[in-house]
Amino acid sequence: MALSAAERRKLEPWQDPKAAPYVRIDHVTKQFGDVYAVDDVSLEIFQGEFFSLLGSSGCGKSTLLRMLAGLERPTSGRIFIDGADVTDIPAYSRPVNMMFQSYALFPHMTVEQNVEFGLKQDRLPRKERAERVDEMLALLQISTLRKRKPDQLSGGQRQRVALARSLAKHPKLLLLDEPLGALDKRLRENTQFELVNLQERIGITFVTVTHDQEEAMTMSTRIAVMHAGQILQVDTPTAIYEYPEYRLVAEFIGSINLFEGKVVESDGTQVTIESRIGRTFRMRDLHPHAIGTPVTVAIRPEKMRLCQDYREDGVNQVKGVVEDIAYLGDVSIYRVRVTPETLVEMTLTNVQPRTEQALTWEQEVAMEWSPTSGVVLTE
Amino acid sequence: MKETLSNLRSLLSGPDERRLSRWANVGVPYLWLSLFFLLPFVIVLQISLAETALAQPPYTSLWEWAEEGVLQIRLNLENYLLVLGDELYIAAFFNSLWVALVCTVLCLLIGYPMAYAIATSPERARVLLLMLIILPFWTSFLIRVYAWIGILKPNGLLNNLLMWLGLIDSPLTILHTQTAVYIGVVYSYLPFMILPLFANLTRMDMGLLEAAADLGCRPFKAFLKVTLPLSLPGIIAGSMLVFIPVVGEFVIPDLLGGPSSLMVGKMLWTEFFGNKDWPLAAAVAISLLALLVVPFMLMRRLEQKVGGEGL
Repeated sequence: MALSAAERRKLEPWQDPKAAPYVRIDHVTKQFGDVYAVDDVSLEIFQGEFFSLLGSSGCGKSTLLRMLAGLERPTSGRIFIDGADVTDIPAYSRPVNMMFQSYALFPHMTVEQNVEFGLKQDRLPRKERAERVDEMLALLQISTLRKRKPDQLSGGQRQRVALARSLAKHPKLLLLDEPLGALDKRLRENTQFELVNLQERIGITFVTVTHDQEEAMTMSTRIAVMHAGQILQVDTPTAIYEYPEYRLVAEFIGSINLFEGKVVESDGTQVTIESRIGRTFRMRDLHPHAIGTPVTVAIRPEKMRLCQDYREDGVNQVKGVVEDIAYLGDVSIYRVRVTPETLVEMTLTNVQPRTEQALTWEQEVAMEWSPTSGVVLTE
Repeated sequence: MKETLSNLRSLLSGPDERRLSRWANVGVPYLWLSLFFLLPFVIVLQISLAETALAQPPYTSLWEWAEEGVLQIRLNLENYLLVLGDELYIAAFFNSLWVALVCTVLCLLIGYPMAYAIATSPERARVLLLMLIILPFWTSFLIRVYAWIGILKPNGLLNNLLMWLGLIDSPLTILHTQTAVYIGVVYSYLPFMILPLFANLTRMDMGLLEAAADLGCRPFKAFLKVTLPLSLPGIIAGSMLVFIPVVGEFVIPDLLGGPSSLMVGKMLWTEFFGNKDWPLAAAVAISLLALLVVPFMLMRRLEQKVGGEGL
């Protein structure tokens, strides 16, 4: 079922040159003393997106989010929401709501009062407020908890209340700061799906901050990977995973095998690389590299496969000794020592039960991959 | 010798040991309370029911052996009737409560912003600011109150300053008025308001104010809706620490107050040491205690209610 170009543009508005971004961050910098928490970041987020800011702690993602909420003022640069410059507008006047990492529920108010708080600030009539509270509590399935105080709730329940409170005002833009950080794995997975459903149902634009790549992968329409206050790459989860543009991005998301080397031959679509471990690789080249350029070939562990016809002059082949096996049930991860300095990771689906498998520790194994299975990186 | 030791050991071990330690845990504080609180209270109560006598101690005994085998107990309620019937005492009680109330409110109004500022200041400044609050305690209370005489008297520091600034032409009469009592009390008791408030406010999650702002609440309203209700336990604790001792305050009205600043503490002093009427003074003390128990209980109930809901 192929999508028409128009449909694709609707689903992927960033592909459409005529689409107006809902949030525009324009050369924003935030300095704390001498530290650049956010360093000249520009970003466009479109209506209906589930946009994730991903990065390790201290990369500036939370500061960027807080600037969108108005809780932090940029040192320089402008922020536009729905076409209006909101840089100088205080948090309490912005059409934006945020779900805080700590949830920040008011401890002296009941669940109901917490959810109603924002509506009261808008001076909504009592009847309308009650309806909206009921709607929110029903949406997040916490109607039975309405008279409880936050300290009488479990972590998962609190998180729902926090979400209900931030959604109650029907914001056009919802900011989520590590929304699922405090939850255990199962609850987290359920909530991830719920969030995505919710977003599809009420059509809000979500911007979320996370350090959890899995969370970002499952939920996002696009991901911005941040490092040291700067955005390295903005792309769909698939593109970020399959076609990282920087080593940092490749390493941050999932595990990856990196082979350093030098370009020895290039025909514009394919490059031949002489790697430092002495093997020759031939890869598809998305950004043509000149001969002599030092590059890194990046191959995901699951793109590796067992090689039956290993040859000394073989292309895209490496050989080593199995050093470590991690059995995960559905797949097994093999760590193979290729040279004293190089450890290669390979993931194989457990087609056979583990006890039946031939591959074991200390065994010599050859691996190979196809030219389109990885990327060639310069930085 | 050996036997006694093993006896002692068996007494201290096993279930007995636990019982003993539990008794020690509960018993020692209760012993302390009954020795130094309940016993003096009973003695004062007993004196309040006695009559004055030209003797040492200056009051009659409550019981005496009338004849063989008959114990005669005489309880004299006249002191209480006098205290409760005399307009002067009633006025003193009311004035004490009024002064305490006004001063508690003033301490709260001055102390809250100070406590808030200290609680929200950076870590290093906080230590210094707290130090400045506690520093006056290093000098004698009496000396500090005396110092206020020097400040408030007609040709004292304050009047000289105001005249030098050209704000007034002739010195204001502040010393020996009710105003001087207010100033003295607020000055002396302010730390007792600030410290519990500070302790409460530092524990408050400032993220809650960000959440309030995010939900469309302006800063002042966020203070009223979030900070203030959450700091109620601190407000109650501070108010009790100021209100209760101020009702019985004696030194400040005596040194700074005038003839019109009639306060129970001062009357108590006069009855005890001026008139040597111990029973009447004791009756005043007991009445004062009864008067204070009521607001104390009310505040405790409020605190429990708030405490259960709040922090």
